[in-house]
Amino acid sequence: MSLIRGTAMADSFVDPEFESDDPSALMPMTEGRETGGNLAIGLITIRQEAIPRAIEQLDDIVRGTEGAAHQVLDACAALEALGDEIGGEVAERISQAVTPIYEACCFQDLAGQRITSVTKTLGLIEGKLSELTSEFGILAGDYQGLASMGGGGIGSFGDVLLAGPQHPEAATDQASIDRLFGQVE
Amino acid sequence: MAVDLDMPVLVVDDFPTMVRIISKLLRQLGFSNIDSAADGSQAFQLMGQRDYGLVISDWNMEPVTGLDLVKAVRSDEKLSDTPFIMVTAESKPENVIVAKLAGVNSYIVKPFNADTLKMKLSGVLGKF
Repeated sequence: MSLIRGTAMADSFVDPEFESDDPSALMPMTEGRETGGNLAIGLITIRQEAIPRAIEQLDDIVRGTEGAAHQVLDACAALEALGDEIGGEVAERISQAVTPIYEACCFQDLAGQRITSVTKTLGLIEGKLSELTSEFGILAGDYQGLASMGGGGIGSFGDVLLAGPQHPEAATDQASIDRLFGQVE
Repeated sequence: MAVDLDMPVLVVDDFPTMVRIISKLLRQLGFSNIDSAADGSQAFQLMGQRDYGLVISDWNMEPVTGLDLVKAVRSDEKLSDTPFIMVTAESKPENVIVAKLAGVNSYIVKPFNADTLKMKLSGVLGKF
């Protein structure tokens, strides 16, 4: 189905007014058909297979890191419970010792937000590919795309301010935020 | 006046890991009465049922964001005075400005540590 439609798209490159006695003059058109067909197959493969697979893998990463973070936190809680059984200074020292582990587990939230952002971008790309293929009449299937899986694409929160975690080198630090926060009336 | 460590505190975040982390740090600081919500809508509903002395909220949540939540809280006659701390990965200056103008009392950028949380809590609630 896709191949036939891809060829049909390439047919639109044929100029009906074109006339020539030289058969080789048609060669570019034939190449155009092949190129168009290959492009169509490529776009459809990316849209229907590669992007969903990538999103699935990213979702697996989010679930995997969340599970791992909870395991780490469970282990910390178990250590603290043990410390409480022992009591006294040991309990306090254990509590202090596990605090950096809790703090470090923020990574799961930040990684999750970054991955969600990438997933939404992939959903946007899928949507554009869908528009492109529809424009060319390549595909008229009922594949609804990943917009629904990805939460409707970037900006679906209705809040254009949300950009997620910044790159560490570009991120504003807490001290700068404090200064700015204090300046806003 | 001393901070009432028994007052109900509401932690709002769509990542259960973050709820656990913030709750743990709060308990370590002495707070014992901690509830949680997964988004602004759920949080606002809980706030209608219980008198929270502090809300610590993420910004980026669906369907109702932390910014929507603080706006709703500040617009509500009964809730408008509730201390509100935003804890978020959004660190661009425009975010900080918008949050401050919306009525948040303090702004913590993720990742953060226990000392930062304590410092911000002291700034909002007083020394403890």
